[in-house]
Amino acid sequence: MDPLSLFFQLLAQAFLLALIYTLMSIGLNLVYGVMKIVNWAHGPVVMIGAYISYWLFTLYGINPYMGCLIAFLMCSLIGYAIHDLLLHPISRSPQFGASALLLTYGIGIFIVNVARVLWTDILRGVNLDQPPIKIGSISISAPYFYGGLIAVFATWLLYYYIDRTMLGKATRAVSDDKETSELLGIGTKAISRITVCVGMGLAGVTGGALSTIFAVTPELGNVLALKATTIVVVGGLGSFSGAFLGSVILAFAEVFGTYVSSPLYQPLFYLITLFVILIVKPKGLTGG
Amino acid sequence: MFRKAVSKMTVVMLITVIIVVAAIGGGLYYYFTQVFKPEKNEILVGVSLALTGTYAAPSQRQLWGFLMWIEDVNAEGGIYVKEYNKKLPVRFVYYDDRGDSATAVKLYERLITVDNVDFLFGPYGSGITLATAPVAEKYKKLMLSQMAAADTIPAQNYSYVFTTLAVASQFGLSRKALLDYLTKDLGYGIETFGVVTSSELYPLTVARSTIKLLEDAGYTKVLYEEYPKGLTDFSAILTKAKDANPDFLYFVCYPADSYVILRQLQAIDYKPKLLMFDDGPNDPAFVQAFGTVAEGILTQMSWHWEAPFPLASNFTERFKARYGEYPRHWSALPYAAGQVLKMAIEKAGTLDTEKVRSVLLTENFTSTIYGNIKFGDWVNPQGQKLQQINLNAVNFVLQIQNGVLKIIAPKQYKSADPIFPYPGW
Amino acid sequence: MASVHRINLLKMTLIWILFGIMLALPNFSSGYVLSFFSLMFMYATLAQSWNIMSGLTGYWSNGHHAFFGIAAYTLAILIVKFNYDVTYAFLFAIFSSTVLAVIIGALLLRIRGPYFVIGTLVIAEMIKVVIISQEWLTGGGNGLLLPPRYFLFEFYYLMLTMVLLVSIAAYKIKNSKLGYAFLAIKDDEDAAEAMGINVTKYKIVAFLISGFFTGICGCMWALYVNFIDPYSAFDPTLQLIMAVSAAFGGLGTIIGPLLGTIIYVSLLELLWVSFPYFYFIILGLSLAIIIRFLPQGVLNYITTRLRVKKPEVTRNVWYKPDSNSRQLS
Repeated sequence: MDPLSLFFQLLAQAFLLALIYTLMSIGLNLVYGVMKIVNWAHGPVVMIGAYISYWLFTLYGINPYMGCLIAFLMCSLIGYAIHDLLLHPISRSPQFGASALLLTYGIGIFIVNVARVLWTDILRGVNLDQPPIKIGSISISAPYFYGGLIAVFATWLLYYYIDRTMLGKATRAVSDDKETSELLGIGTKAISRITVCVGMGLAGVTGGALSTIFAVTPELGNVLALKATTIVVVGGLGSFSGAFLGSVILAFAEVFGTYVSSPLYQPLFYLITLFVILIVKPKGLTGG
Repeated sequence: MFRKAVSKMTVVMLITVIIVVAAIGGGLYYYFTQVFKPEKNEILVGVSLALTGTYAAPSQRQLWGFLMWIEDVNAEGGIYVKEYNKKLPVRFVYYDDRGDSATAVKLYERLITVDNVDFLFGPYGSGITLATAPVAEKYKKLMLSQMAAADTIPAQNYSYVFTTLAVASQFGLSRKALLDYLTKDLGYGIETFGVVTSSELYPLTVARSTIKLLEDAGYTKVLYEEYPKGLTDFSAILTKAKDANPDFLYFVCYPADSYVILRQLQAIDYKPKLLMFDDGPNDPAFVQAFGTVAEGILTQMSWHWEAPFPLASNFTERFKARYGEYPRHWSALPYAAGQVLKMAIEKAGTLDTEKVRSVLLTENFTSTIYGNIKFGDWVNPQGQKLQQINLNAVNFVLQIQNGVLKIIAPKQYKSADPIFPYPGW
Repeated sequence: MASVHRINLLKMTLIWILFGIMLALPNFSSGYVLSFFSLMFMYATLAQSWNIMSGLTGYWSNGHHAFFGIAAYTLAILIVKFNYDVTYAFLFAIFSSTVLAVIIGALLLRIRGPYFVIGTLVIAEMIKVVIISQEWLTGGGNGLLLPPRYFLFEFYYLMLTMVLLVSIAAYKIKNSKLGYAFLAIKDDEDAAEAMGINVTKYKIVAFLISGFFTGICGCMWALYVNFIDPYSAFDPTLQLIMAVSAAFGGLGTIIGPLLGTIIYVSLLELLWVSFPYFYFIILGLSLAIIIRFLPQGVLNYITTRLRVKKPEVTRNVWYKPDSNSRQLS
């Protein structure tokens, strides 16, 4: 393959990978932005979304991209339960950040193992028989491509919600200063609740998109969630543009770095990049 | 001040009580198991498997294999032990080590010192087996290792560990057999090969010994990549592979990796002539996940239900009726190991470890569902001396044909002709 | 040292009795019980040493398993590749983990809050990847096999000693100038600096002490399991147990990590025996529910709600929302 095509091939792959990472991270970012906690249940809920999409496809033949929508609704309900039953009651305690971390971690374990008992660890996948999309001499993975489209669509929707709607405005207010928002009469509990619902719903959507790419197993969320958390933090907590930038950097470092050296060093590329970013900008890419 | 002291004391007492109760519990266990020995009326076998964690699916299937063996043995009344002049039923004790070495060590201690098992089976995974083997050695308990394939284990001079399945360096023999068969017998000119492996003990052993065998046989290596476990994006590796374009592309990887790799191969539109994944396509749900793309993909197992082993088909039928899927090697190998144990006990006429051990060393165990099992020493291609491995062990190369796994190498075992090249998409 | 706590005679006697039982345990219990307690002591030591740093200074480190792994690997490499004697290898290994701790502390000086958490995690991952890639030295993915030895008794006594040592150290640190500096950093780092406390020095010292104890555990663990590989030596689950036990018991307290570990490990063992498949489900749910009702940790609940003793002034500020957060953008 000639160098130029090779370059564009890798570029396309990296870009799509970045979109996938972005999709994974917007839910996390949203929840952090409003509640100031890192939600460790995000990964497991992604996995639930993947299973929802898988079962809808396998049992009823529903296209997984439609399944994403249903996954969104069902995972929002999970978010609703988590917020109202678990998170909100402790939201006023002094070490809420640490407590929420432990709590969501516990719920995450719970969810993963319920899935394990229900559906066992057999590796499943959604097969859409999609041939690769060819542009010239470059071919792109169809599942990645559609996953990327969903990422773009979801991000745009979220942007619209945050920026253009009243609810979004209220959300921004709560994220900025919770106490003052309360004083101004904004129902912070309701806002938090909606945010967690949307955040978890987005996790479900991510799962639906990923069901066509990765093996659907109870472990699905864990590895990716770690990367997503890292991206969100390095991008600057609460910042969507930062998360996107972080995803791009991560994906590009991974893909191009590996190509020029051994895959054994592959993680180092993105790890060192992230680390350098943190050292140079201690509050993340867009922070400080 | 006194009130303050009492309050602090309450907390300390709470902790003390918990620990003392636990200690007393441990003491009682010890008494009832070591000091107060009841008459022998059953044979206890024990194992620790990674029932939760990353290796849950294969471990679960191991458990099914063991349970079937236990049932079959007990259906006949148990194992006849001449020393007691009767058949003793077998009781099976198993624990979950979660794939963690320190936990597994603790559990094997439990099996030996608390449950007082007579015999042990091996845990899942070479790393964990390496951690727990010294425990078996210390207490002089026999451990039949049915699912840990790394050469390092039998290379350690353990007297009480016997390996029943094919060791990693034996795997390469069937890959070579496949390529030879395709080139020499069928006339397809296979010349080059590429290997991508996960960087972990067992995969690395398989990969490297296979490479050595293939290179010695005259095939050219055009690609060799190692990747750290946990990698999620293989696009760069696969692009390199596409450039190198080997005739035979071989992934020694985890099941979940194979899913991602195959999708990414589709993404870059690269169809190697021969495509093999050590794990993944042998999982029951693979065909459903990939449909027509799965056709022609190669994989491996150290056992297959179509292999000409005695009673294998009977086992397969019963397993399928019970669990709803064809048995994989994860289930068959524990069953076979159980069969070996039974035959060894019967031949030795006693449960005494040393006597059973000498039977294991000398006897040729025919009619197991893994064929003839004979333990002995072997020098692997890397020059290591391996002790007490199954000299007749074989590892098959399989291919998905019409949605079903077929044996295609070594050719004397084949149940179908190979599809060549890989049709792809 | 301005120690003002006076140990009550009764409490001391109880502690001595407990210690006596633990010392004598190997004489009347099975290998299993010893393994169970050894591991519990190890987790308790890890939790306590993590707590010395993260509980007291408020800097939540998510990369402590790096110190554990580096010590384990240094020990293994020296023994296997260079034929060192166990004792020397051990000393070098602890030295290496301590030095690593200082280096990491220095690198992460300007980073705080959740950024710090991720920073430590990233470093730990980097070290693990480097170890995997340098097969010539570390054996790479193949791991390293130490000369097999049966180590249970030594492991048990060593871990018992360690738990005591680290707890005593934590107690002494907490009641010393060092401890007050740590707590001041946790409370408000900038104010502390403004008042003349050398924040940099103290943060690095916190890392150093914490890394030292964690490293010792890593060495002991390597000798106990005989075979180490990058995935088990740098297992993030270990870090999780450390943090969960300590936070669950009560961050920043002395008994907290011990209590948390005992409860967590015992719960795990109890559940696993009774419900082989469901224990993780129950564990996860229990953790969530317990935190829901006792968000400050078990010890805090005992001391405040049950009014057992005057609560500690632990305003655990894990991060400060106003300075580290961003408006959604």
